[in-house]
Amino acid sequence: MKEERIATKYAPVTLCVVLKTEFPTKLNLVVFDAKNPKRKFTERYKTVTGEETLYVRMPLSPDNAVVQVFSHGGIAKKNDPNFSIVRVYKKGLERRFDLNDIGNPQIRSFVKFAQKFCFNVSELEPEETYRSDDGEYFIQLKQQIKDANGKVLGTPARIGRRTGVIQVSKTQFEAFTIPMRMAILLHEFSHFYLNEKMDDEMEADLNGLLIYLGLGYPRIEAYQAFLETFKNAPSNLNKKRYDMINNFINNFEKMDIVIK
Amino acid sequence: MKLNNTQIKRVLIAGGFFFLLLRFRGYLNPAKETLSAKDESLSASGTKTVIDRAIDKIRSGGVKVASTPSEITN
Repeated sequence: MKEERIATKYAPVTLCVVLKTEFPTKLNLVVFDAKNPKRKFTERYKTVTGEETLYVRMPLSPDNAVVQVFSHGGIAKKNDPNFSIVRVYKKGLERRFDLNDIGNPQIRSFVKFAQKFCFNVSELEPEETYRSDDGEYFIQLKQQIKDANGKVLGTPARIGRRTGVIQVSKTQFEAFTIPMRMAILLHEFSHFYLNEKMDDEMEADLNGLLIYLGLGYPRIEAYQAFLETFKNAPSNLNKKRYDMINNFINNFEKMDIVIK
Repeated sequence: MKLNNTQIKRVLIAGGFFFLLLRFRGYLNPAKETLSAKDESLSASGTKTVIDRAIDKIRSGGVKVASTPSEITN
């Protein structure tokens, strides 16, 4: 395992991690807050051959970030000879809009609230209700989400169809990266507040993804968020959803980027 | 009736003001529409247009957002 530390000063950035291997090696990359290892900004793996750069988009960043790389299988050796971190550096974050560009005050308010919640969730008390600055949006943080009979549900979050209140499972959210948490909250927000048909999962997927990708969150974490959800409920509908999400993300990536 | 230079200038300024008002009325008071990132009437090749249009709506504020029920905010 090897680590590098970099000052990101809470600014939106893209981290560029240059890795080098002697032969094709499956490497895990984790970026987390130096103050709180539970606050992860990415957790991914890639087979690296020779010298390659991995890019981590971070619309939200900590004061200081720790970049941790280890070979797949979890070799904890400090001096793993199979790879090296050549360099870690920052560059501007490319995105379609930032929080202040969102013209609609209701969407802006929710995004601001959701970002704050996702960044801090590991330090928030469960069994409490949190609300946005304007008092419009509510998130109930539960240790686990249960149905009316007390049975623990596998979902990381859900939204009340009459109230618009979002329930979040702290146990599940803590295991997710910040971008994955954002993808899930934006999906739930879309169900109640943006969808034409409230129950339409695909509409919520795409409306939520549009805001998520527009803000510059990483594509790979969006896939992970949906795959985590789908793995608990394999079905034809979820296969169809995955194909549509994949198509949408690919199309989004081909677009010109407007601001840095 | 003959207009003097000052009156002509005022008419032009007023005309310009109304022209700009009409030209940018969408940004001043955008019509609210559903976000519709999903549009089944379009093929995959039309997805980019759907995305562009939806992003414009987010930036201009023209997205219809359901309001929180009053029993929650009270």
